[in-house]
Amino acid sequence: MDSVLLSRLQFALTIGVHFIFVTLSLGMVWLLLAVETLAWRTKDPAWEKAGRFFGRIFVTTFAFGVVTGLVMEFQFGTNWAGFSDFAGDVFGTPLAAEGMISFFLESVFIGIYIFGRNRLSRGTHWFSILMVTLGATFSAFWIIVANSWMNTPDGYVIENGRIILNDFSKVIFSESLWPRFFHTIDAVFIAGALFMAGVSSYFYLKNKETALAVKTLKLAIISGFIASVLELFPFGDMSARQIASTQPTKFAAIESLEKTQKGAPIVLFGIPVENPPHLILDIRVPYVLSLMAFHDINSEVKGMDQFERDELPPFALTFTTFHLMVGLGMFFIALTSFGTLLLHKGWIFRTKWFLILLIVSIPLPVIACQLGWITTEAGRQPWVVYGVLKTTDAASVNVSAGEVLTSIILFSLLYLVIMIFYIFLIVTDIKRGPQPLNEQQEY
Amino acid sequence: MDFNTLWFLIIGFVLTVYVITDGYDLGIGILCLFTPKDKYKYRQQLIQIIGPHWDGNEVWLIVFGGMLFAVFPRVYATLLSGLYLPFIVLLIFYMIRGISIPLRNRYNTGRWLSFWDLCFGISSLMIAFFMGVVTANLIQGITLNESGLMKLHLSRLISPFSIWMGIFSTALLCMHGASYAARKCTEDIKSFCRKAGLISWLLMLIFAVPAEIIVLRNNPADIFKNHLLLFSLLVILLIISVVYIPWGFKSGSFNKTFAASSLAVGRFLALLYLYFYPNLLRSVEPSQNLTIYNASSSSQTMIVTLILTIIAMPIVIIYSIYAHRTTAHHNLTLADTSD
Repeated sequence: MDSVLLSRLQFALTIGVHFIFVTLSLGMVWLLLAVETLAWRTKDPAWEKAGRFFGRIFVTTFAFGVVTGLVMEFQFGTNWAGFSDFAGDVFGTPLAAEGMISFFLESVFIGIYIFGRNRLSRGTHWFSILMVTLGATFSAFWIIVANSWMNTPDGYVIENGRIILNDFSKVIFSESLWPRFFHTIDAVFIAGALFMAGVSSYFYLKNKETALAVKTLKLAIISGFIASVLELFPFGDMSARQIASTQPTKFAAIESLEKTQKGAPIVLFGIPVENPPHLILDIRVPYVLSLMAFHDINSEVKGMDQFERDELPPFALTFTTFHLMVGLGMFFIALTSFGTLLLHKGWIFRTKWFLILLIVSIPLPVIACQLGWITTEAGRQPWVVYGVLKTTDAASVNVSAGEVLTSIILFSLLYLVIMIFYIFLIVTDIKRGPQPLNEQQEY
Repeated sequence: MDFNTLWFLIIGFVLTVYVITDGYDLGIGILCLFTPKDKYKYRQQLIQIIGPHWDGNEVWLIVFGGMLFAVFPRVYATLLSGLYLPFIVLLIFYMIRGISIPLRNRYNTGRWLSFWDLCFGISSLMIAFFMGVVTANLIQGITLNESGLMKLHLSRLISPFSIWMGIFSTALLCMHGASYAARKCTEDIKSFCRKAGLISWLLMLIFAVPAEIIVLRNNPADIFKNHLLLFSLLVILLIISVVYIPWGFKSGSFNKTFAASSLAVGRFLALLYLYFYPNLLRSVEPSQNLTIYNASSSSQTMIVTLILTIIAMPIVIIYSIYAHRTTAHHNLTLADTSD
């Protein structure tokens, strides 16, 4: 194996593990803010306990996110020196901004949030979690700025074989920024909501803290329902149109459109086969893809036949991950809308199988986020900066395959340990359940 | 002053703040390896002292990385890829250290605590040591090829001088951590911090003198000729801070000791900046040096990043001070640490 492929694997591994913690912490933080606000304003002990419980889970997840995130900041230099040297003029600034604007905010105030419970005033404590929430959200913004620029590069010129900044606002607000930002934030919110819903269901079924579980389950189901619907429309729709217009190779591959055509069909089912990329056992509905891509059933959508094979992303991988993600998204809409219906009728706590289904569904949005990420990153291939720099030209030429293999082995072992301990900590916390309010809580 | 020099100073400042802030929690991590008999009580409190801050302190490193990437991308790329395995190992120690803190506090059994405290202590020690090793290599200069890339063999990375510098940086941060811990801990632990601080002060001094002589003898920027005033100022700062530290530890005015220790750390970095300027990476072949001019990004990028910095950093500094003050009003008591 060559060092470029190994470096890609390493990046996928390190960012994939990091993204698990990001999905859960960023997804939970807005709900935690809501819970802490309710606890402060209503002085209801159930909300108070919920704040402590989910606060503790959030802090653990956040800490693991920080630990795995440090690698990301330096990996562009260690493994992707070609990219860093070529695109650093544009790409470094969003990362520096992320550190200055977001990481400081969240990590300084999470210190106050941890330290301040029962030591500082309620207002100060609430303010600290608000700042953590904003910091986490800004952080998502800046990293999506950087990644969106890699997908739809803008605001630069090329001089002496390197990228030079031309217009910073075009770098920040590149064409794909807003669709991708809202799509991602909403996706992780669903993960946070379904986590809270599953944990609340578990408490209810185990007859632990039912007063708390009733409240948090309601909050989680309703907000999860709204977020799941928004994820389809407008955010999913925005993303689809954006990809169709700016990254036709990605669009053709994930939608498996073999031939350029007007009134292009959407795939409902199919098994992807490579060489040439096509589907077997496929079921398609005409016109829908054209409608989705350009809001016009007769519009022409570019198919894979328009491009050379080496300009296209890996077909089977991106097609599969994309459709699994969409399928899971549809499942979340069904799950949360049914849950909202049960809530409305007052039946939810009698419907035991549904509560069990919610518990089982806890990891699904995290998986959906991973699938979505694989779709967008693998879908950008063979480019690291779309249309500008190929991934093969981006790696560090002075790092050997043996060195990268060594680091992959080290990272894999460590990440395995990290994941085991994380799951162990979270599961023991959930099994132990919320603690009585008179105990001083340490993290 | 041009933008390149301004950025050299800003990045130097960020690195200095990183070493001073994360330095004390790394130092406290090293202290955890040497706690006396009633060790869990000591470690519990030492770790609780840095609990609210270590994470924020590490952000200075991330910002340092981000700024280096944005403003001197070639140095960022060359340095990190050239020292590939050392930096990977360093990152792994940072990760082990990061998970040790949340994990250790979960269970109160001897084996569990011993294991995570050991992980925490060893990784802190290795990070402090590696900082010295990397610094030594940068002082000695590296080999760059025609395309500005470097390749450093592990055998060159570890030399007598780099081990020497590694021990120096470990002792320095240990002393620094002791001076911070002494400000915050309860009376019974203060005497441990004082003793640890004095021992590491002595060790630091023994290793610092030859290191500084080597740095000054191998003097590419001709410090004595070009920066005599600055250099004299640094010498005065050195004497004040280094002489004050043992006295401060003994007399028990720990806030001042910590200030003096921070000054000593900052002073050492300042000497290095003087030694390097205007170079960023010194090559064995001086014509291949990466300088603040040939390795910088475009002036637009320097200006844009500067504007972001001018807006963001004052706010960061204000709320960081606020955070330290808010938690400082609530000094630890033993009752706090018992559960």
